[in-house]
Amino acid sequence: MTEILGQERAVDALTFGMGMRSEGYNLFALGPSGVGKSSLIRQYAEKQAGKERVPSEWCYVNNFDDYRKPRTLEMPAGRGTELAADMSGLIVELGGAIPAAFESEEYRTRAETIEEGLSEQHQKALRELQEKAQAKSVALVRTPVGITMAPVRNGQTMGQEEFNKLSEEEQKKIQDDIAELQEEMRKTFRQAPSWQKESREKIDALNREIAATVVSQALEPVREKYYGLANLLSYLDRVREDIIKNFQRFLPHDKQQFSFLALSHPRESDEMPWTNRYRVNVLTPREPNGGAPVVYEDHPTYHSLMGRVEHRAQQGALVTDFTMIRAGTLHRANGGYLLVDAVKVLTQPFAWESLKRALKAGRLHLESLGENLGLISTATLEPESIPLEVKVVLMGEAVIYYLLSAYDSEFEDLFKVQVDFNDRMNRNGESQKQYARLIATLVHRHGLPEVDREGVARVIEHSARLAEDNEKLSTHMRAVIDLLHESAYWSRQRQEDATVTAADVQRAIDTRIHRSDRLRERIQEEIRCGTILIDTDDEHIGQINGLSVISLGGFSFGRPSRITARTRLGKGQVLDIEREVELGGPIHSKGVLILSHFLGARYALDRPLSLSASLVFEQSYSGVEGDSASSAELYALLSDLAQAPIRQSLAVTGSVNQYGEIQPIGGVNEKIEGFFDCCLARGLTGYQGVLIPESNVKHLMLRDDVVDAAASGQFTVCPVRDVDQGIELLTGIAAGERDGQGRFPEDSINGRVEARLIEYSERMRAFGASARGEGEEGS
Amino acid sequence: MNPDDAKQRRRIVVTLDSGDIDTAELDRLIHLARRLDAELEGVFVEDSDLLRLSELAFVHEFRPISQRSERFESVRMQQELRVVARRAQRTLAAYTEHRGVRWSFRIWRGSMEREMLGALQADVLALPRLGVVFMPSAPRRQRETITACFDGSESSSGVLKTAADLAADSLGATLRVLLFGALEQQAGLRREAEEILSQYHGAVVYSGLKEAGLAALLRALQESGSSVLVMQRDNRLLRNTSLRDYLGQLNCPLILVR
Repeated sequence: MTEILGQERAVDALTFGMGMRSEGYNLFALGPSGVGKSSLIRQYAEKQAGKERVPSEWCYVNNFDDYRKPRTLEMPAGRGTELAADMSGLIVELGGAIPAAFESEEYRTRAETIEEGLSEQHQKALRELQEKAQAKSVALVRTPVGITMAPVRNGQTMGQEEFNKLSEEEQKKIQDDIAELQEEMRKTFRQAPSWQKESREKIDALNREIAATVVSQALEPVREKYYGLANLLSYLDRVREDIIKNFQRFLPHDKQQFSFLALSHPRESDEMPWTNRYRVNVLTPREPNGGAPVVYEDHPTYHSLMGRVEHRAQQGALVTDFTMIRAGTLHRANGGYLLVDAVKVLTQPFAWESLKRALKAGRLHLESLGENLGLISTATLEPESIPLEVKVVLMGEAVIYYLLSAYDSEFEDLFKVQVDFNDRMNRNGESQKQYARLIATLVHRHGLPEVDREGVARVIEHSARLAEDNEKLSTHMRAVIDLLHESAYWSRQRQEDATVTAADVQRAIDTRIHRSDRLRERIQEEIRCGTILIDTDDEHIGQINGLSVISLGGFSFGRPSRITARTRLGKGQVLDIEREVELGGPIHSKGVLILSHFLGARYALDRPLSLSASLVFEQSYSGVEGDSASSAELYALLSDLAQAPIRQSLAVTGSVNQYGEIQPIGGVNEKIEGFFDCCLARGLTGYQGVLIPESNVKHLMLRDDVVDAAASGQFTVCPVRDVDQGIELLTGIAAGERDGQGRFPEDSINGRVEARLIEYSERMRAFGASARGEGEEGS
Repeated sequence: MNPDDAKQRRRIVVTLDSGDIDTAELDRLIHLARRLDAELEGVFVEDSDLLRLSELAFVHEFRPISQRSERFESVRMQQELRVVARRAQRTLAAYTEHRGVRWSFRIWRGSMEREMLGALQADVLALPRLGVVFMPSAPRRQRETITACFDGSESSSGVLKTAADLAADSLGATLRVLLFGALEQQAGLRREAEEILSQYHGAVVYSGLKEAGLAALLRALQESGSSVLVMQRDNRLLRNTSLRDYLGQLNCPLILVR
């Protein structure tokens, strides 16, 4: 059995969302933490992924035109990894084969023959020049930076002195001969570069031929292995061309300047280690039989999602190449499913925007965040983008979903499937059986001791308490699992290998409360010793016990509060003192405003409501929020107006509308228990109890001691439908209904209230007339 | 080699002229100097023939790299000689530094002819490759062949020992012995040479040189692709040929042993 119960809506949405392949049908799983969103989504994603094909392996390879813009290579699953190994093997193979070819007898002989040809050409030209010079008694002489012609006599170079001794005719002949030879020499030497070039071209052609043969032989098995992968074959062609062009890189270092005729192949700028040039960087290795990927990103930073380009230090600078591109989660999840926590991705700088951009574009474009922000200025890459086809599942609280829907205009276009997880499920015979089976599954899965029938029943009871509804069960599986673990702990404390009983479960619940309820105890103590003024007997006019809930650190408890109301002649204002001193929240203020309109509508339809009332939460020094005390406030007002004392043995919770109907509130169990604890400390009298809205009855999941006290008549929980019912219980006086003339019975609460308000109205009118009279007299 | 023989050699002179310095050759001599515990002396030859030639106004100088022809002026040429001499000294210093070899440098002015051999008193005299070349090219480094001329004379046995020292310092080098003598003498010369080289364990190739002329020697050197030629200082080939012409036609450096 799965750990998921009561999530039919979410399951339907998941089934739809996972199967829907159109653009923008990403999912947002919303619901409270602990209801099993992650487990269910992972389960569904894995189930769906198992039926899908394994996506391609995306690889980055060198761009031979511009190494800063690496190219992508899409390979079938598993084949990219194979290719990477094959290319590494190829590099090793060429590292041996190329030097061997260039040291072979064939190559050496052919290259030396070309060199020989050039040398012969040079020697022949020089010989001819020297012969001509010798014939004219002239020698070729090397100077510091060039060559010159020297007249020679008797084997000695002639100087000015010897030259002057010659006849004019001889001098002229020598000068003419040397001029002619110098011209000849110029012509001869001017041919040298073209001879050199010609030979260099021959050497280049030979080099290409030898390199091409070696490379083709080495590459052929690779080409055959990957026959049919057109993109790869085209890339291998580029590899072949590049190796032929740069074959000397495969030669031992001392031979890289290798070449005859002083031919050196200048190295290109050292943009990357040479052996990396033909490597294959498999960004996303895939198991051929693994199905589509399901990836959960626990730490969705910009770089962990989008990938990064790493750098290495080289001579004080940071350099990089395509082999240092690292995949992000989106790369790994491409072709499958990515599960991310919404809050985490939203709180990581640039992560959310980048995720949206990638989903919108349908491409993964890897950028350096540091460079984009101008934080670093180092050589980086602009890798070719990769097509992105991924189903993203965001998980988060409902409020995150609603906020994103309201404030992010792109959100609903990109996350069209709402997977709404329920925090409660219906409680009935069938669901309780399922819940019991789930408990058995959890016990088995977590290796816990067995839980007996009563224990299971107690867990289910507690689940209903967590759901705050006796007709519901909590779907908060983490809480149930925690309870099972803690129950098992207490069971083991009792006896090793013992079965978990209801008592163990109860102990787990009690000890958990005990660990958290220091503050509650303190408040109860303050009430007991009279520091916090709460009456649990007697009757008082305009004073009532209200109930509030305090939630701290995951523990909630009820706290009784004294609410008082005072009325007098006024202009129809009910003053909320909490609001006046900015301790009341807007919902509380709304509740108070409703009271004045209820009073006006019920008692002063045809006359002004000439009342001024004030309402106070006594001894409240922090904020008050919510309208659950509005019925108590109304009862206090009515009590004061009717001068009818309220029984202090009762406490009240519930909100009220303009028609006087009592409406449900939250935390009803904690509120009842809070007042019960207070009464219990002073001694239960049998008159004490709490008035709750009738519609909250189904939410009652009270502690056993409260239930027992109620069963024995020592404590009462009174469901109340409307104000009249409530005020009768509180005062013991009939509320009263209007008779045929529209009048309330005189002694009823309503009759007294109406009479008081009429009196106020009359006095206000008289006061107004008197004030006007004085004014007229004055004028 | 016999240590006593080594002790006798104390001075190796390498002439550095206006051409580019062959650093491989320099390396070879440094190794030899270390082996013989000899001082390496660099002598820059300021060729007096060039100075004399620069007096002639009609003589022009052609510069192959820039392909320009200019009048051969004495002042400029002397400046250039000084520059080249300084560079030669720096190169020598750079190569010998930290290699544990004593070295010195001086400039010798004179004609690059026989009298230079007398003037440069040395146990081993290394003369660079001379002659006009079209374009400078990287020297070939592989399969070095050291050629030694052996005619059975006492001085030529020193040639063999020096050549063996050079070959021993050059990994994988081949020692080629050219036996100078008539056909019937060749076998005897070879036995003598083998005996002298009995301590040498590298590869030795023997070949006879029937004709004693320069042309035959040049052919033999070309065929073997020699990196260096070692011969005795009083070799008869040097007696009949201008030193400049001789060096000009050799396509490799020459090492003369006293």
